[in-house]
Amino acid sequence: MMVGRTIEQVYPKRPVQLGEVVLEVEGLSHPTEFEDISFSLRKGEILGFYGLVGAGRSEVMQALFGITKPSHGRILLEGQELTLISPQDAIRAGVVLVPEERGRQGAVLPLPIVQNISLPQLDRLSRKGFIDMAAEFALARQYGERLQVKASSWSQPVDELSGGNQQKVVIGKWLATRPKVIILDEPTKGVDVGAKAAVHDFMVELAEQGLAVIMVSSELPEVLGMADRIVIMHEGHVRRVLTRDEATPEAVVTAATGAEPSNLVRHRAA
Amino acid sequence: MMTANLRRREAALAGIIVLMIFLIGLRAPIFLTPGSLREVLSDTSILIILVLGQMLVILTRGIDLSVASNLALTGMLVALLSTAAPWVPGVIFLVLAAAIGLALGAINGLLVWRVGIPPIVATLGTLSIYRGIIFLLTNGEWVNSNEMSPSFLGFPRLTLFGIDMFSWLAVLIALGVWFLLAHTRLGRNFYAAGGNPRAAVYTGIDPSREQFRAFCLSGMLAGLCGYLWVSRYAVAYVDTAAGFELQVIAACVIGGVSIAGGIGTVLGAVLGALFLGVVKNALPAVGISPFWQMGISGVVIVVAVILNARGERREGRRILRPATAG
Repeated sequence: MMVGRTIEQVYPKRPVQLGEVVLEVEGLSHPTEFEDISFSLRKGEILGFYGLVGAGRSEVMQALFGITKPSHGRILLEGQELTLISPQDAIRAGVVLVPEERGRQGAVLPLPIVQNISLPQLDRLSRKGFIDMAAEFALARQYGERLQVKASSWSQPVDELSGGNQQKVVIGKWLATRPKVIILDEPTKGVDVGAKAAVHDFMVELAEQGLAVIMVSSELPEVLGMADRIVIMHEGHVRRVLTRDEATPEAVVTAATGAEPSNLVRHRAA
Repeated sequence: MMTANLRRREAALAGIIVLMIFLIGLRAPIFLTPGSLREVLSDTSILIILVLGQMLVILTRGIDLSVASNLALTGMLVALLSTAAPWVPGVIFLVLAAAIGLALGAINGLLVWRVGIPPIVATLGTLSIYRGIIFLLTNGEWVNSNEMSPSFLGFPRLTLFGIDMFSWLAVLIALGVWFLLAHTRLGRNFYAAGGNPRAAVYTGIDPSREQFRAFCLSGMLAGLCGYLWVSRYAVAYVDTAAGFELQVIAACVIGGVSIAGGIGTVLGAVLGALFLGVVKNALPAVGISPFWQMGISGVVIVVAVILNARGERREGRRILRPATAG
C-alpha cells in the first residue's frame, strides 16, 4: 500500500494459453560451470530460473546466447539445432539475452538512446558498412515509445537517464531484434518499485504476444509470482522443475539449497 | 554521441584558440596575415592527422604510444627509397608510406587482439622496436635533403587554392574520420567497444578486434605522416619526431577525448591539435621562450581533465523532462 497499489498488481501474471515448444535444451554441459542441463520452453511461457548465487544460472544463459561454449549437449530452436559461435548467431536465430548488470553489461552509457537500441542489429540497418540513419532512428523511436522511455530526446545519452529508464532502453534494444526467446537475467535488480512493476507488466505482455520468456531471478516472490514453471538450480545442476501450482516457497528454497526434505523424497519415490 | 557537454567544451576550446590568435595578433600583427595563419595550419597538419588516428585507438580504450616511432621508421623507409629510386612519383611515396604504417599498426593490433597484451605495454614495446630498426637499417646515418628526390620533397608542397598538400590531407582525413565515426558500422563499433566493452560483447562485437582495427588505422595515418614529416623537414634520422606521441595524446585529451574510452569527436580532436599548434607557432612570434610551450601545454591538459571530470558530475540525470519523441 505504500506505493499505492495492491500486492496482486505488483505481480500482474495472468494465465496464458501456451503454444508449441520453441526452445529445447538437452544435456547441456560445461567443463567447470554446469552439467546436464535439460529443459524446454513453450510459446507464451515465462520460465523462471531460481537458485542461489553461484548456482550456474547466468552461465547457462550465456551458453544459450553464444558467449560461453558448452562442452556437450544440444540447443534446439523450433526443432532446429543451434550452433552458436558468437552472440551475433544467437541474435540472428532469435534468442536474446538481457544481461544482469545494466551498467556493466547492458547499455553503452555514453551513446545516445538511438544508438543503444540499434546496436544489436546494425548489420540489418546498414548496407556495405554504411548505417541507414533514418531507419535506425525510426526503429529506436518505435521501441522507445513502446517501452515509454522517459527522455528529453531519443538522442539523449543513456547515462543521463534514471536506472529504470536505462533498463527500459536495454530491454527495448533486445525487443527491437524481434526475438523468439528473450532471456531476462535479474530484470528487476536494483530498479525502483515503479519501474519493477513496469518490467513485470511488460513481461506478461510479451508472453501474451507469444514470446517465450526465461526469467533468471534471485527474488523468490518474483519467481513465484511471475513464472509458469520454475527451474531450480543448485551447484551447476537442475535440482527440480516445478509448475506454478507445485511451487511453494518451501519446496523452491529447499531445492535451491540442495537439501532433500523427507516429504519430497516420498514424493519422488511415489 | 555529441553530448551537450562535449559541444560546450568544443565551443570553449574554439573560443580560446580564437582569443589566443587575436591577443597575439595585437602584439605581433604579422601573425594575423593569411600567409601566417596558413603556415600555422600547414605546420599543425601532421599533428592533426596523428591525433585523428590516436583518437580512434583511445575510443576503443586503447592507446598507441608507437605512432612517432612508426612515423620515423616509415619516413626513413620512404626516404631511403627516394634516394635509391629518384624517379618514383610523389603520390607513390604517400601510398607506400600509408601501407607500411598500416602494417606496423597491424603488428600493434595483433599483439593486443591475438596475443592479449594490454595496448599501453604492446605499443611501449613497439615504440622501442620500430625506432631500433631505423638504427639497424642506417647505422645511425642521416638521409639529408640533397639525397632525396625532387618528387619526394615536392609533392606535399604542391598547392591548390593557395593551400598546400599538408593542409589538404589533414582536412580530407578529418572529414573521412568524421564520416567513419558518424555513418559507418565500424565507427559505431569503436564507440561501443570503448564505451562499454562488456555490453558490446553481448551485441556480438568483439572489443579487442575493434582495437585491432583502430590500431591498423592509427598505424596507417602514422605511416602517412612519416612521409609528410620527413619531406617537410627534409631529413630522416633515428630520432625523427622522438617523443612526439606525447603531444599527440595531449592534443586528444585537450580535445575532450576520454582516456576511459567511448567519448570523443573529430571536431574536439582537431581543435585540441590546433590549440597546441597555435601555442607552438604563436609564442615565438611574441618573443616567449619555446620552453613556456611545455608548461602551458601541461597546464592546459590538467585543466582539461578537471573540466572533464566536473562536466561529467554536473551533467547527472535528467528524468523530469517529457519525452519529445524527436
